Amino acid sequence: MPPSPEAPRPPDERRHRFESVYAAHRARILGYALRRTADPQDAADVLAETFLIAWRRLDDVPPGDAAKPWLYGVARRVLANHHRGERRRSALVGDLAGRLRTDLAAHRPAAPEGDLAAIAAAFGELSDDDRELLALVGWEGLDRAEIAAVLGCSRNAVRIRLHRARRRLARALDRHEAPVPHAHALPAAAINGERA
Amino acid sequence: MNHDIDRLVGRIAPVTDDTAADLLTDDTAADLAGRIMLAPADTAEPADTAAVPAPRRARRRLAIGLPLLATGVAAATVAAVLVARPGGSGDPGGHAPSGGAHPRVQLAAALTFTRKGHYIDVRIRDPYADPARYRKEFAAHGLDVDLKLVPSSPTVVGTVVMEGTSEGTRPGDVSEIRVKGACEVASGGDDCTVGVRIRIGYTGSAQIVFGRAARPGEQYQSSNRADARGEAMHGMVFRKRPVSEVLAALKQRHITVPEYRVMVGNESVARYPGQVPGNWYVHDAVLWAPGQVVLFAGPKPTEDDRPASPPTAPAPTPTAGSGAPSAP
Repeated sequence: MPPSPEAPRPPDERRHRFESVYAAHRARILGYALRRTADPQDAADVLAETFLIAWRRLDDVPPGDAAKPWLYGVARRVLANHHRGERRRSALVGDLAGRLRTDLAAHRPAAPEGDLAAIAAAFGELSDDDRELLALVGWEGLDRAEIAAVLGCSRNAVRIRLHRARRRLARALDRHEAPVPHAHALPAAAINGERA
Repeated sequence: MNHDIDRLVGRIAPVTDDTAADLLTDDTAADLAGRIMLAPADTAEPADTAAVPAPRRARRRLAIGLPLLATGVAAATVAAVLVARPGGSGDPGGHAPSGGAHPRVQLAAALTFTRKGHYIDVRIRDPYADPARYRKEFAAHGLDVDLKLVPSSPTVVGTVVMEGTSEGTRPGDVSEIRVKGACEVASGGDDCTVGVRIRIGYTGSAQIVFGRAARPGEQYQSSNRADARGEAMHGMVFRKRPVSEVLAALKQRHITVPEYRVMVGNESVARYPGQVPGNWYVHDAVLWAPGQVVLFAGPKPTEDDRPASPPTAPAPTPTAGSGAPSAP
């Protein structure tokens, strides 16, 4: 049952709730940010600011699984601000950014080659909106209802936009003659049963 | 079927959640959580709730705890991005006394202090006053408050862009005065901070940064979205449009573009008028100074953010750029 926003939580309960939300979602929010910015400092800021907002608005954080799209929605707005140049260096981040920078150097794969490069190129041609929608599915693993919550639109709108985004990616893959990996061998444009 | 194309997208994810989990060690994560939870939050004792007539407002807490300020990061560092000038009572220039019920304790030259029950509401009257004067006026009220004003884009003027309080500050000691529905907040929601309310007898220290109007040519340290209502590029269509077209539209509004940002490899670098082809495309715009914006541009309609070399957010910004104003 959702908590009443009017009912103040005892401090301990509040901390516990925050800690459980944080533990459950911190890696995926960091992952979300890292997948969308090359700058570990930005990613660290997005992580810190997203959970700072969650802490401050804990009563607004939906219970259970619904917390996930709520957090992605917050992270999305925080990240958008960074991309708009409204950089807010959060001191909360501490040395996290520095550590991420060092550690990421070891983790981040080189530029994609071959098949992956073609897929990435086709993906890169899509509009920001299309890419984000496809990424929310392919990278974040969200379902339509969750995406609707992240983007603040209806499920039906998500369904339609997702359909179109997939079709546009399929066409772009065709243009790039992206050799679709053997494991899922299928002509890109055939995915939606049509030729561009 | 769709799963296949979704799986293709999944394969080009630059970083997996598992990698992110590895990067964020338990210790680091716990440190961050600890710092976040230092930020005051809605923790009023239950006993307070019944007693305080407007508990939600009274319990509203500051955005950030002391650590933020203590580290001396850029002055415009904020957690809550406050973006629009609130109407009515929030306007520091048009502050209307709220009637005989709340007599103003002191009409100071630089600040207004309005007594409301056990609290003092503080708003700015003279945005260009020497910060030392603010400090003096706060001290006259027995308050240790460090107030700064930073040049801001029009819709940020008069709003609080950063706040911090010392450790040990109790919920309710310092709170925001918010006006709901008057503005658009970048982090979500639509209520803006227009002042601060301090409990009479508060013995901690607080640091508050308000936005003020920028002088001609003075760079903003805090800004709204370029196309937000009330800002220079409101209503303009500029993303994915050719640079020449956007420049022409800006000219009609008497807005100039002193600098550009373009991506070179992974790096955002500055370019100056004449160095960016007119047939390039505008990706984004940032408010820079009165009558000036900075455009993010590139040869393609959108920034190519392929996962392996995604664009960073623009490196130099009005707050980080040119070094001068941001480092305290």
